[in-house]
Amino acid sequence: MSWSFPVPLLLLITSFVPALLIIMLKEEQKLARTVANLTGAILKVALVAYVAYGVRLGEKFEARFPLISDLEMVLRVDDISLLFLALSSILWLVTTVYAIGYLEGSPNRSRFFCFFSLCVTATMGISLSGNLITFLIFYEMLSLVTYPLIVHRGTEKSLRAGRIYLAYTLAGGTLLMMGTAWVYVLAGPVDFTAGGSLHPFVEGDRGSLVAIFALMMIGLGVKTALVPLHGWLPEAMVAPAPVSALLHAVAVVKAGAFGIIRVVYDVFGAETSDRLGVLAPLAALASFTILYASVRALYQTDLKRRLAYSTIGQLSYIVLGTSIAGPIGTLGALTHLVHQGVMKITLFFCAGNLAEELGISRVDQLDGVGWRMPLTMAAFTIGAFGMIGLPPVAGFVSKWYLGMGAAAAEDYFFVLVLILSSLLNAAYFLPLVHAAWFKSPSPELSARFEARTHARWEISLLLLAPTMTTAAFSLLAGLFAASPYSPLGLARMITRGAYLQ
Amino acid sequence: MNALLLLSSAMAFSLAALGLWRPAEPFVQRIYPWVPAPALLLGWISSRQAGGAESVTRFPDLLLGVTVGLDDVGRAFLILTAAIWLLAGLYSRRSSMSEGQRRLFRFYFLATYSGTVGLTIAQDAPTFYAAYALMTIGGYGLVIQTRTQAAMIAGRVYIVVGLIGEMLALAGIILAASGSTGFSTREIASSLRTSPSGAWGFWLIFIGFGTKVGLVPLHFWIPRSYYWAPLPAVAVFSGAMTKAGILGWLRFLPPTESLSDSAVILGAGALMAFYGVFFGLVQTQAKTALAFSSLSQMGYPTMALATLMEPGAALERSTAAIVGYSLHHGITKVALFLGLGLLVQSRARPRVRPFVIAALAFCSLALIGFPWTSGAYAKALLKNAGAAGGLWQTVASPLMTLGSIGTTLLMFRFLLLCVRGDHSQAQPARGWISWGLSFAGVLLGAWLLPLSLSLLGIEARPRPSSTESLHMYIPVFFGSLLAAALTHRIWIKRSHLTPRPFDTILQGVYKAVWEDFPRDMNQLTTVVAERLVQIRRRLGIGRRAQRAVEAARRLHTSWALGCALFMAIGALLWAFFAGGAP
Repeated sequence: MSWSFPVPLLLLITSFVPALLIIMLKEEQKLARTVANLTGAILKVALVAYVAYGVRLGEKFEARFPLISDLEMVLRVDDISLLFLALSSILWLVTTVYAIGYLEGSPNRSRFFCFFSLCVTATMGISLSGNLITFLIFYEMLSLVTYPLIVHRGTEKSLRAGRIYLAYTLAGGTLLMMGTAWVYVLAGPVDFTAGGSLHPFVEGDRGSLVAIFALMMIGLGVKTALVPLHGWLPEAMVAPAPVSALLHAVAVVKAGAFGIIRVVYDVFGAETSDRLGVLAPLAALASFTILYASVRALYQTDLKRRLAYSTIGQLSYIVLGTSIAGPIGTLGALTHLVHQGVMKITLFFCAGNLAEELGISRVDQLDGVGWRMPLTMAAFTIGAFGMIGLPPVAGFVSKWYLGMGAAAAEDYFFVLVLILSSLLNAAYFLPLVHAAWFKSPSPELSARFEARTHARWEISLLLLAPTMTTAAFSLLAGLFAASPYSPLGLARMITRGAYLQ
Repeated sequence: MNALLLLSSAMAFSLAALGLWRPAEPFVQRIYPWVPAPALLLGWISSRQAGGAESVTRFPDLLLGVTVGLDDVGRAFLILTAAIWLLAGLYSRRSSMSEGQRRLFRFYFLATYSGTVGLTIAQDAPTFYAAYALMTIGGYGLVIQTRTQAAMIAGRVYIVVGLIGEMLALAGIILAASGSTGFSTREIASSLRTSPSGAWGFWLIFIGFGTKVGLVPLHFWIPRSYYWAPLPAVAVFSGAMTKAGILGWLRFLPPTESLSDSAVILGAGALMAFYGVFFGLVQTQAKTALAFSSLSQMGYPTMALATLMEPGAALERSTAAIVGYSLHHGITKVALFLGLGLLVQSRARPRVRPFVIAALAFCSLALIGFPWTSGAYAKALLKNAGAAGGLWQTVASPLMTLGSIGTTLLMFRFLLLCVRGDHSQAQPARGWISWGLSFAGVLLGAWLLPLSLSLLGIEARPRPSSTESLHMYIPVFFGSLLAAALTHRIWIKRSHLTPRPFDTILQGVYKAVWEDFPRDMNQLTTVVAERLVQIRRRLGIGRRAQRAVEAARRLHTSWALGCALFMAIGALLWAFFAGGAP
């Protein structure tokens, strides 16, 4: 339909225009900046809701622009992109509120919010892209616009983290570009289609296909933080809390995981990948990552670092689900894409709250903090339980389907991996929860508790409300998992589409 | 009806959370012991109406599709759970705790209750598992109630074993679920029989839920937790939580009709029954002696489960034996544990004390299976289970006689400890009424147990007569005399024997897991990391990368540069494709 033509573009514009506006604003024009930020974010959520409604009615949203010769930039909304759109637009809104509260009174806020919006623009672009080249463009854009966010504080440590980040992601981007170019040479310009479009080449160009797959997986694996390409992620935790939250839940790492899903299902196709025999090594790598990251997380004393390693492990759940043959694994992977985002963003918000309010950054400083900041720690507890996979938090649902997918494909080893990972998750999260609720604070810590007492809330409402919201999402996504409007319901719809063709 | 049941479970958790909110505290304090009452009432009403016809209600949007319903077995466990919680709740109101402790106790007590009652009504695997997990987590708060160092360690042991058990059970359920059409417990159970990985799933579930029942060697959390948890909590642990594991078995494990399965489970049950006796006998605390007795007693339903797996087993009789034994043990243990608190309380009142001890002695007789007690009936049920001429029928008689002799010794030891007053970790309490109710249950057990079983629709045929149980008891009586004579050293001395082999092993494991392993891993990772850094340095990657991104580093000072780089990459792509395009 012609009038729906610019909708995908509008989705980009709702964060691109605020980015431009914000950079033009002066540092002290706080109100205008906030208005621009929130208007963009709210408009975007509304647009996504509208698009979701349209897609349910069977409408197509697509925009095409010629780039060069037969290459086109394709922006369109399909089932998978809708999932990612919904996740990123909602979490962006929440994170924006959080960031406004978090950066209250700190310098360079205009720059921060400009790149923050650009970051989301890029993420939107990634979820909307309808072919590899579009994906690649936004993927690279995301790598670049995230850099200023990571080095925002400008300290030596953050600059170093930024350098490491750029080195990793740019190198990964190059590999992805090579893969993209190779696909183009082999098959010409192909759009993402459910079921993939490379199956005609399995017989003749098997070697090329395997090489392309490897190139792309390494390229995307950098952002997905597959071991041994994960080095940048724990470093990047020096960024301010809202950035970490966005980085770990929506933008960067998810772009990688989303890319892997796209490549496996929509470029190669689940069946083709299976026939090529490339999924088994990927699954093995993902399993190794899961266990390795969980073990490493045990030994991190810095709270955000521990969360970072946890992200590395949890992301590989998605990769594992993608690389398990069969629809149930896919369902698990897609669901976890959303669930991991909501739960991890909650945990990072909590870490941010603790640092902001009490200056707590190490795991051994959590003793008794639960009674000083009950709501924050309640949210943390929900997030941690979700990561372990305890019902009824969302993580349980994805673990259930991932495990079932593995069992259905008779890959019993992966069931073992998931169980071990759950136990390791428990081993590195439960002591924190225990310390927060059951231990009594050291004198130094209780002095800190006393020193700052707010009139009404444990911390500014701008920080507390987003934390509570995402915690509630994590809980509701699990409690109402079977409803058609839950992440699981959406993922089920997508999976049906991907496997019927 | 089913919706109300689900509501009663959810309400318990909501009240638990509400109780943490200061203004609502007095309200919750007033009503929390009564929270199990609705479930008890609903269970009773549902047994009266419908005439045994089962109905399930689906809540298709909740969790992974919650299915709630009561069948005969579920109803029995629901009533048992709710009754025990009601008694323990009323009792806890009169036991000594500080205000802060009381507040948290309420929270965990209600949360655990919510889970335990939830799993009795769950008819699908995810819901059952969710409720089970809630129960496990809530129980942690009860174990570490006193916040002492030792209680914390007990709590850690509890949660580690609990989580491992949960994960094993979940793995088994997931294996079964992948081969099943739906998630209802019945479908999962039948999938365990048919799917290729069914045997794995079967044993994973058996061991997983077995951790709660106390399968040796995964039992070691039991004595520790029971020792440190407050008495009302121990009562629900021993009375209801162990039964949750048994219900898990009943729900998920299909009758496999395999002699080898049956033999293995029978062996596990017998091991529990005798292990508990041996290590219970040398305990110096009444509370731990009772804990080991729980362990030993749970061996009997485990053996009853073995009869369920026998080829040609009569399912109804086995089920009746398991349910009957669970009801009998649940109520009796509650009376025993709650009685301990009153015993401590009555230390200063020499006139009341003999009555309490006499009551405890009667409860002990019930556990032993003395004629005219619920124990005799439960044991007779157990003896009648199993296929005629099957494995169980062959070994039942000597095994159960030996078991009863063991129990007799153990309970004698327990009473001795009570008389001597070795019960340091039992807090005094004044919950006379709730304890009186539970004791009345034990006192009338011989009559109540068959009545309640038939009311619940679990018909136990043939009904054992009291002369039969008398005959069963005679060898036990003489055997016990003989055994007591042989082990007189234990009785004469004020022995302070506490060989706990698992403690030594546990300490070793603890040190290995929490001290040595992390240190070694840390060393290993440091060494590996250093080596990697060396390699990197030798290759010059760091230097080169640093130089390569030096330009990019300046980016953060100007957004224009970022845009320029972005455009440059676009141009690069353009050139690449324009050149490469055919």
